[in-house]
Amino acid sequence: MKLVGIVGSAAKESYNRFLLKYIAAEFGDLFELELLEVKDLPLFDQEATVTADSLINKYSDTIKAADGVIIATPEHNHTVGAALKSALEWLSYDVHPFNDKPVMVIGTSYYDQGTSRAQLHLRQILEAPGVNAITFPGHEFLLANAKDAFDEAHEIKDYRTVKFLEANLKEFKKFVKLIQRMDDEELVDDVAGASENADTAKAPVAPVTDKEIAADNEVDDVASASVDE
Amino acid sequence: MKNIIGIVGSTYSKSTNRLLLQFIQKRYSNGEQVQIELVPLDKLPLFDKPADRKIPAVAQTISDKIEAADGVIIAIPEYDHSVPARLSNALAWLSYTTHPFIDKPVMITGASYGSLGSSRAQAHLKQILDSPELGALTMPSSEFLLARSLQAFNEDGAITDQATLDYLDRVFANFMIFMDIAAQLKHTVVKDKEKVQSFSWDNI
Ligand SMILES: Cc1cc2nc3c(=O)[nH]c(=O)nc-3n(C[C@@H](O)[C@@H](O)[C@H](O)COP(=O)(O)O)c2cc1C
Ligand SMILES: Cc1cc2nc3c(=O)[nH]c(=O)nc-3n(C[C@H](O)[C@H](O)[C@H](O)COP(=O)(O)O)c2cc1C
Repeated sequence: MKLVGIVGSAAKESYNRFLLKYIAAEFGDLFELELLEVKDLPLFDQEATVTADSLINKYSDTIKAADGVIIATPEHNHTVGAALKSALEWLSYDVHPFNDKPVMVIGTSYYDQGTSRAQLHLRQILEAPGVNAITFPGHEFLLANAKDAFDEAHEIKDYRTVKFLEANLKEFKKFVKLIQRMDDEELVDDVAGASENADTAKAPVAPVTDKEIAADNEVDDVASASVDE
Repeated sequence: MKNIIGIVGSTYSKSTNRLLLQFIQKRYSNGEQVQIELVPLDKLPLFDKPADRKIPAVAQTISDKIEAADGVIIAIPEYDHSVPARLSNALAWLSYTTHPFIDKPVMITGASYGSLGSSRAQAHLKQILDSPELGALTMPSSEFLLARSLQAFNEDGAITDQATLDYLDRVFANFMIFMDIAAQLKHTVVKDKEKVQSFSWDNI
């Protein structure tokens, strides 16, 4: 299984980066984890187009090709870091790599809360139609007191925390496989057969391609007309 | 005389939230009781938590303006059910080494293309402004949500719907009173500032 890990902090020394690197190294037998850095992207600009050779497009392709994504978010002023939010804006406007992608949310912060509030915001953000990810429910992993949590080799010190993390990652793997099964021919046919309206049941859940729709009408009033009217 | 800073949470050149704040500025800024100045966010770089704890000169300028103001009005678009990165980025800079929002009265407004008027972004923004290093006094129970913002203004940039205008007038009248009330809540301001200055996420 191939997963992508998104380092949600733009800080030079980031505990969320330590966390994802640790997962990549420690749980290599569970899955392959390729890390993407939000710090390398510019701030979201609605007027810029995502060109084929841009880093945003590269990230988009990498995410599309992956089986699932793990996002590690920092918490700034009780919300997700601006660099991560900016990256998600890029990846939900011209391109939509998260569409129907299983995503696991984790995070670490300096204090007791361990990014509790940022993670709730992130889950709501991932639900937005332009993003349209399938967020792994429950299984919160909040790593508090980040500065004490890692040893000099940037490994998590506490054995029980490591075991808990491992259990969550294994569950996420199952979740990814489950979501993949949703696309199974057989399953789709079953649903279509059972439904009164086979057409709608079979209709692929298309990514939101039209920016305006992503932005607006699909969000708000599902059946309303276009923005330009 | 009330000196108010207006912040548009978007750098988009066709932003309807900028139209909204410009309209608010035109309607209520009269040079006698009210002065409203808009500060742009487009020159602020990405917040990367610099270890040397130096903030860019633009951030310092905006911080000083907010510090000196009686109140702040924010207009935000909704991006992915939340606050645009441009705004959370600005708020990170404005809570790192300086803390201009502590006990500052803030009125939140927002506009969206659809029928919800940036409701979810505004709810998130309230939570954000309530975090310890921002610690603003957000005006309660007076949401101003401008829906269908692409159709809301005429060519002169004025809101055309009378009911919406009446409501905006009331919310702004409330904000004038709210700034006075907030100014009376002095007992904790000095202490709050001291607390937050001595507090640093890095010293934990
Ligand atoms: C990345 C992105 C995500 C968006 N997500 C939403 C959304 O979740 N809800 C919404 O009402 N509009 C959304 N929009 C459309 C908004 O741009 C629009 O409704 C906005 O509030 C208008 O503000 P402005 O005219 O100041 O840019 C999104 C736009 C972008 C670029
Ligand atoms: C402006 C600013 C605001 C912060 N706000 C929070 C916060 O609300 N909650 C929190 O736990 N840590 C906060 N922090 C501290 C850390 O940046 C945060 O714990 C982060 O998740 C650490 O992750 P990182 O090392 O990957 O950047 C804040 C830091 C700064 C500079």
